[in-house]
Amino acid sequence: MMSNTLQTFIKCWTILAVLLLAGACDKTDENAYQPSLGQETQQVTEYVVGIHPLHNPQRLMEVYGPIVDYINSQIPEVRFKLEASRNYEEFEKKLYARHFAFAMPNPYQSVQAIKHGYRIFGKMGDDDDFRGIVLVRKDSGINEVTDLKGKAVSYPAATALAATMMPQYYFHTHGIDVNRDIENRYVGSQESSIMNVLRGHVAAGATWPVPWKIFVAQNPELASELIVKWQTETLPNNGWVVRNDIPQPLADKFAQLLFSLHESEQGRGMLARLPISRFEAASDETYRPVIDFLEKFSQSVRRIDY
Amino acid sequence: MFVNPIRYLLERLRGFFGKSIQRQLAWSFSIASLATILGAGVLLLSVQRDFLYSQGTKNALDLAQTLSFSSVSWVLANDVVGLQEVLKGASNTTDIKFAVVLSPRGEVLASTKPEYIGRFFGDAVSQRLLGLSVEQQILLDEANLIDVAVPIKAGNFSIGWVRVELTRDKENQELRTIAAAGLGLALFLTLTISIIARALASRMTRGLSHLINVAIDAEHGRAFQREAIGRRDEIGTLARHLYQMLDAIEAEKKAKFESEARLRRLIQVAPIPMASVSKDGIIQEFNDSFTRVFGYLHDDIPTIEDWWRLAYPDEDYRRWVLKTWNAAVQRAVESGQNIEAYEYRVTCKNGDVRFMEIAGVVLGDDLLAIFIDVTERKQNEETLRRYKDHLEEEVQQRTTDLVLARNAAETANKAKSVFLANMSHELRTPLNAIMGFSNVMRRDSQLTEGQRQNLDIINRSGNHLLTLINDVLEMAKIEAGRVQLENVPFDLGGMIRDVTEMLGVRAAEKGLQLLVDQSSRFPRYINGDEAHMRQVLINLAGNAIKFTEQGGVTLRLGVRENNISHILIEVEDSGPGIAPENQQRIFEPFEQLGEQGENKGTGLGLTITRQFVQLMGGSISLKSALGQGSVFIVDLPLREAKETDIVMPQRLEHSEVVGLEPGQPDYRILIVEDQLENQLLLSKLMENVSLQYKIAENGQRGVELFRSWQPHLIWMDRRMPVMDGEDATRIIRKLPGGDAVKIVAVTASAFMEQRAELLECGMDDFVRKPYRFNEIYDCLSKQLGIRFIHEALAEPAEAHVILTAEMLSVLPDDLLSELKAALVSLENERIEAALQQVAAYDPTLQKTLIRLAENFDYPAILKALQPNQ
Repeated sequence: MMSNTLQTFIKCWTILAVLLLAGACDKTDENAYQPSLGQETQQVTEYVVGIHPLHNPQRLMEVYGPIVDYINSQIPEVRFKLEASRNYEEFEKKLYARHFAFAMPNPYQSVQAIKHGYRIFGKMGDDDDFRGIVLVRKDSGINEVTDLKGKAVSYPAATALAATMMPQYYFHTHGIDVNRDIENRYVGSQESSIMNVLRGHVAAGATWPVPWKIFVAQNPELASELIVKWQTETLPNNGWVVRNDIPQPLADKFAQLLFSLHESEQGRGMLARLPISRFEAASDETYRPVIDFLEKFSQSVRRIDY
Repeated sequence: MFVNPIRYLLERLRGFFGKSIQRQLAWSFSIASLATILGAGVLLLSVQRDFLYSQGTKNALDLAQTLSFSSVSWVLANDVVGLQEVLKGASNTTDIKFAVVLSPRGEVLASTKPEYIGRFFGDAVSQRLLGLSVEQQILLDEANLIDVAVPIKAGNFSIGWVRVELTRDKENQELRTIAAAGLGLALFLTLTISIIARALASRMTRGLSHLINVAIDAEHGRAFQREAIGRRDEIGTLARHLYQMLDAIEAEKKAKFESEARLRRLIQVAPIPMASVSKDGIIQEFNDSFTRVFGYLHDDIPTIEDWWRLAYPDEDYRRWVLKTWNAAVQRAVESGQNIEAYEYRVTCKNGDVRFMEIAGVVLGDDLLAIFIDVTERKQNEETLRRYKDHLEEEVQQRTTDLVLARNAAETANKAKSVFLANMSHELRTPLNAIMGFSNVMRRDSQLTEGQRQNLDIINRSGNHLLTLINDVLEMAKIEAGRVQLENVPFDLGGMIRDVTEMLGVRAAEKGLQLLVDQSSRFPRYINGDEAHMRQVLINLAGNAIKFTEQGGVTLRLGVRENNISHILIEVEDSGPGIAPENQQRIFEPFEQLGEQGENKGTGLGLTITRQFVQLMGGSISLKSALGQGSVFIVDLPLREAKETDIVMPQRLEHSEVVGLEPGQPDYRILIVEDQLENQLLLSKLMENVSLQYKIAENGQRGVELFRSWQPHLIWMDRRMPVMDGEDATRIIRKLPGGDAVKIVAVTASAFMEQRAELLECGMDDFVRKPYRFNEIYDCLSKQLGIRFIHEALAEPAEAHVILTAEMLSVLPDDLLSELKAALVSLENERIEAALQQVAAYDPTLQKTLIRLAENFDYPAILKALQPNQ
C-alpha cells in the first residue's frame, strides 16, 4: 500500500514538473511586425526653396519658414519646401546642381547662378544694409585697420560677398595685404564670425548688418562688448532666382506673393523678422555692380570665379 | 441519470484524500507550498517583465529623442548623407530593428536599413503616424517589439519624424531565464516540502496505524501488542492515554464481572423470590426463594410466557397483569427509574394463591423481577379492616347515644335556664317589695332606733338574698356560655378608686386597713369590660376584708411586660390563710372553708371571679399558707386606651330625692303593673315627689288609660296577665300620640339580653327589679327632663357620734384600764389589741374607738374614760 502511494506521489510530481517547465517556454517571435514599403500617398509637386546660409539651419527655418508656409497656403496646388544648407559650399553645390527650384543666394551666388540656368527675378530691399561691417572687441585696442596686421580675422565663408569679400576689399584698400598681413579664418556662418571676435579667438570679425542687428537684439550684453569698427560700401542686396525650367506662371505667382508681403500686416511681420522692409523685383542687369566688384576683387585681393 | 461532473470529481477527490491522514497531510503541504511558490514566482516575473518592458520602451524613446535632436540640422538642410551618418551611430544599438528619419510626407530620408531610404512605408502603422499629433508616439508595444516615433522640430515647425523600432528579444530572453530558474527553485522547494511533509505524515500515521490496530484488537477482545511508544509528541501522549484507557476498561470489566458474580450470589441466597428475564422473554434464572415460594422449576417456566400462563391462569386477570406490568416496565425504561411495585395475585404450582408485590430493575437488556410476599400482610389488613368496621359501628352507636344524651342535657340545661329565669323573676318581684318598703320605712323619721335596726337587718338580708340570686344567675349564665364581655375603653384608675373607696368603708368598719400600692406604670385607661372587672375586684377585695379580722388588706397594682403587656392585680390580706390542699377547692362552686359565720356567702364568688378572669383572657392564682395570709394574683392582658376615648359616665347623684323643682309642667305618669306591692312601691315613689299617676293592672287596661289620659311616661311591667307589657307597648305606639309617650320597662328578668327585645318592641328604657329609688328618679330625669330637689348627702352617722362615758360603761373595768394604759403608752399594737377586745362587747363602740384611734384622737378616748376610772 505504501509503495502504491509512493508511486502515485512520484507520478503526480513528474506530470507537474513537465507541465510547469513546458509553461515556462515562451512564444517565439514568429509574428514580429515588419514595415512594408509603398508609394507616397500625397502626389503633389514639390519645389525646393533654398536660402543661402544667412543663419544656421534652425534659425533660417524660424525666419523663412513662415514666408514659405504663407506661399504654400496661397499656392496650394503645389508644395514649396524650404531647405537649409549647412554652409555656403553645400548651398552652392546644390544651387549649381540645380537642386533648388527657387533660391535666395547672395549677390555673388546670384550672379553665378545665372550661369547654371537660373534667372534673377527679385531681391531683398534695403540695399543700404548690404555692406560689410568689421567688429572688434571694445577692449581690443585696435583703432586702425593696420592694427590688424599679424592678427586673425574671422569671416563666414570665403564666398560670402558682404561679410567676406567686401571687408577683405576694404582691408585691401586700407593698407592691408589680406593674404599676407592677416590670418583669414572662414568660420562657417555669420553668428560664428561674431562669436569668434567676441570670444577673442580673432582680433576682428567680419559680417554684415542683418545678422549683427539680430545678434544685438538677442544678446544685448554680449553685443555691448563689441563695436562696429568699419563699414564697407554697399552693393545690391541678396537676390531671388528661379530655375529656368519652372513654369513662368508659377514663378510669377511666387514673385508676386514675395513682393507684396510688405503690403499686409501679416507680411510685414514676416519681413520684420529678416529684418528687411520688403522684397522687390530685379533682373540679371540689376546685379551688374556686383559683377564689377567681383572683377575688382578677383584682380586685387584674391582670385575668384565670377 | 445525470451526474454533475464537478460534484462527481469532488466526491472522488474527497474519497481519495479522506482515506488517509498521511495522504491528506502530504498533499495539502505539497499543493499549498507549490501554489505559494508559483504565485510568488508569477508575481515576481510579472513585475520583472513590466520593468524590463518599460525600460525597453524608455530606451526606444530616448534613442528616438536623441536622434531627433541630432537630425534637426540635417533634415533642415536635407542632408541625407549627414542624416545617414547620424543614424549610423544608432545602428549599433542593441536590439535595434530599424531606425528611420521620415519627412513630413513619410519619405524615408535616412535609415539603418538602406533599402528603406528614399521610399515610403505603406503599412497601416506607418500610415497612421502621418496623421498623429506632433509629439512622441508609441506605435507598437508588443511582447516582442517596441516601435516609437518622435517628431523632429525646428522651433515650432515639425520637419519630420524619427522612428525607432527595437525588439524585446533580450528582455524576453532574460525573463525566460528568470522563469526557468524560478520554476526550478519552485519544483525543488515543493519537492523538498512534499518529501518532508510525507515523511512527517508517514511518521505520524505510523503511530496512528498501530493505535488503530490496538483499538481494533481491543474492540474484538483480542490481546493486543502493547508497543512501547517512547514518542514525546501527541501520538505518544495519545498512545499512553489509549493504553491507560484500555487498562481502565479492562479493570472495570473485571470489576463488573466480579460485581455481577457477587450480585448473582446475592440474588441466589436472597430470602425473597427474584427472577431474571432476558429481553427476548427467556427466564434466565431465578433463586431458591422463588422455587420455595412458588414451587416452579426452571423446566416449568422456561419463558416468561409460560410464567404468565401458569401464575395467572385467569385470562381476564392475566390481561390486567400484563397491561399493568408492561406499563410499569415502559415507565421505568423511559424514566431510568426502577419498575414500580404493584400487587398481583400469583398462583403457585400447588394451586395456592399468594399476594405478591412485584417490583423490578432494568439491567441493560435484562430485567430483574423482585417478589415480596404480602399474603400475610393482606390477611392482617383484612382482619384489621374487619375490626375497624366493627369499631366504626360501635363508635356510630356511641355517637348516637351521646347525641341523645347531649340533646337531653341541652334540654335539661335549657329547662334550668328557664327555671332560673323564672325563679329569678319570681324571687326578685317579692324582693323588690321587701327591700323597697323597708327603705321607705327607714326614711320615716318617727322610727325608733330599734325599729331602724330591724329594718336594716331586713334590708341587709334582702341584699344578701339578691346577691345570692345574682350570683346563682351569673353562674348559670357562665355555664350556659351566655356571658358576653364588653371591650370598650374605660377609666380603670377611677374604677379602682371607686371600689377602694367603697370597700375602704367596709374595711374601716372592721377596723382594717385597706392599702393601695400602685406602680407608676399601672395604666389609667384600658379597654375591657368594666363591670366584670369591677366585680372581680370587689369579689377579691371583699373576700379579703370579709375573712380578715386583724391587720389589713393591700391592693397591689402593677404591670408585667411580656410579649404583650399584662396588668397585675394582687390582693393580699393578713387573714387566716388557706391550707395548700384547699387552695384549689376554693375556686370550685359552692365550696366554702371553715366557719363563715355571718359572712357566709353563696360559695360562688371565687368561682365566678375565676370564670370572669379566664373569659377576659387572664389567669388567677393564689399564694397562701395557713396563718400567713393570702395573696390572690390576677394577671390580665393589657389593652391600653387613650383618655379621649373614654365616655365619662354621668355621676349619679346618690343623694336622696326629696321633691320636684318648681316651675315644671304637670307630668302624668302611668304605672302598668299587675302586682299590688310593686304598684304600691312605684306609686309611693311618684307620690313622694308629687307627680300625678294612675295605675293599670294589666296591659290592656294600660292601653285604655293611655287613650283616655295621655300620660307623659308609662312604667310598664313586662309580665302581666291579659296583655303583657310588650304587646301593650306595640299597640300604644300605633295610637295617636303613641310615638311621643315615653315607655320604660320595669322587669324582674334576670337576663340583660332581654333589654334588646324590649327596646325593639318600642320601649324607650329599661329598669331592672329590684331597683334603687334613684334609678327610678334618674330615669324620669333622663326621659322627661324632670328636675328634682336632692337632699344633701348625709355624713355617716358614726362621724357625728361623740364618745361618752356612758357608751364605754358596757366595757369591763380591766379592759377600760388596759385601753387607757395602751393609749398612754402610744404603742400601736397594744392599742389595736385593746380595741379588738371591745368588739366582743359592742362592735359599734369598737368602730367609733377605732376611728378616733386612727385619727390619733387619743385625748377624746381618754377624756371619755376618765369618769369610768
